[in-house]
Amino acid sequence: MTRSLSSKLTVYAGLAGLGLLAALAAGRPELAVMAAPFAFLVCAGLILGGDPRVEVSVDLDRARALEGDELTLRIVLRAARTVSKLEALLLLPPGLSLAEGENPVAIRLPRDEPRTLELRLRCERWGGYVVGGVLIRAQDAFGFYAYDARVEPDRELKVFPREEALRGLIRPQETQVFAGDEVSRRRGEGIEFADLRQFAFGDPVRHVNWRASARRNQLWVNERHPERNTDVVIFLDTFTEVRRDGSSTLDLAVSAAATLASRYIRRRDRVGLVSFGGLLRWLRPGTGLVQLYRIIDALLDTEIWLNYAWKDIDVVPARTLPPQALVIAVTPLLDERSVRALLDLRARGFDLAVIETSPVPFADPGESEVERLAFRLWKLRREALRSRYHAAGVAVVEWGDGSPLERAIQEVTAFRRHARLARV
Amino acid sequence: MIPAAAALFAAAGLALHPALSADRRVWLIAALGGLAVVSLAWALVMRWTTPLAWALALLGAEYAAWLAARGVDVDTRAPLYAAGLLLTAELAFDGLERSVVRSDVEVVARRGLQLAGFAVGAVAVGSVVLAAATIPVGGSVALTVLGVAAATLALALIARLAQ
Repeated sequence: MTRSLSSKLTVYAGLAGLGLLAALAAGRPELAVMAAPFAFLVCAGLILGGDPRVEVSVDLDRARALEGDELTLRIVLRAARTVSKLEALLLLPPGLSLAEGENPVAIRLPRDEPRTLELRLRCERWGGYVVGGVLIRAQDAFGFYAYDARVEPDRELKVFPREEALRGLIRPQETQVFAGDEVSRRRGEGIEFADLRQFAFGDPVRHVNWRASARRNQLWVNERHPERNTDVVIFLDTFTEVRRDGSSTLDLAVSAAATLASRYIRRRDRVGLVSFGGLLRWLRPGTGLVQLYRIIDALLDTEIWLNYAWKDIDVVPARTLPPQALVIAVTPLLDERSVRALLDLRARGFDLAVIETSPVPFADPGESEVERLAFRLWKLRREALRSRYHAAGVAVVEWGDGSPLERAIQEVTAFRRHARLARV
Repeated sequence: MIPAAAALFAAAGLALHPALSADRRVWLIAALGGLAVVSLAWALVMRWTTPLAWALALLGAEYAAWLAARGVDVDTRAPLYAAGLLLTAELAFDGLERSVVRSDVEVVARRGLQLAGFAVGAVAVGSVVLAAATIPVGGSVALTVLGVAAATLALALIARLAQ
């Protein structure tokens, strides 16, 4: 612990010295009487004071939480000497806030008697945090010395974005070869009825549709759609974000990406992630709980990195974007590089859907006429951009804070039901 | 806020007593007392230690001026005045601290007891010193030099311990 001298000690010592010298000079014992308690206190403080050697340990009740959850953090303090006043301040990173308890707080810490401070923390924002940083200041009984120490944070906490409730998901145009929950457009072994065709050599007898065969007087068999898995790549645009009042387009994007990844993996699809921005990061498509945790971990580390380098879709490794994969882009459509990259993906034949984390609610229309005009022009340019995507057969839906993701998914589904693929 | 107000109240009490009971040099004593209270108020508002030290020194100076105006009689209430000055100093230093840290009830209660203990202790120490000072041992230059040396030694010892 670092010891620092209080100005109180200097003042008291000065007063004591001044009083004693004045008493001698004036020959008045009363002045010595006045100085004596100060001198006595200074001597007692200097003799009895010493490093209290405070030990601090921090404990979190869990290492993972969901956005909005509350968790308990315990600070256990123990001292080798009695500390009459110990101030403790828990350093909270932005994104975590105090829900219950006092921070900072001043307590008395008796010798060798551990005291536990219990604080409830609220996880305001998703992300990876290292918590447990504590500043402590112990004062000696007379307030002459302060002993400061800083405990470095070492408890890792992962706050996952809260999942949105979804009833349906965007259906990809093509499925893969493995079994899954998506009804394929192809025909094969499955449950969903597809069509009737004439019996061919090798068809199993259980596929024969006896009613149709009796009507046509020849053997007809049922054809079915098989249930297959799909490849889904979540394309996260991290070039830029718009932030206002603690919320941002990136927060929305991460929340949507986490929800979609979780839902697709739950139905045994292979899900990959491309974080396309100043820093390019990717995860090849995979399935299972481990893949979900990989994706969530990658999402938690998502940040905006300022980068002026031009990037196009060629920088993304080919195996990250498997053929016939459904690419769901979550983007504010603000950076020209990501706008071009998505159109490029579409031109290469990828099945693309765009969920636009709309920056419009985050922007201020301005007060003057010129500012409002500029705002309207900007919105019109965005409309024009969306039209370019629509013309290419890509569904683009606006999704903002406050509206459910389900609505955006339903809009994409409705668009894809009627849209035709177009060549770009 | 409470310690600061209590410190000001105590300082005002300490400043008023000599000013009201003096027969001579009333204006000087009152001016010293008033300056001390103003200086303390300034220190508490600005959270500065320097005006606080000045305030305590001025209260002592006011008392010394009152003693000088009073004559040769020894003031037997000096230990009480010393306790008052110590209490004022302790409360003022408490008042200087930022109040963003919420103190435990136990901390506040023990601090109250400590202040009471300091006051009683100051009266006791002051009485012992006063009793020792009134023992007739005669006066001489050698004894005065010894006193100055003892005071200097005490200060040097304090400075050494503080390092």
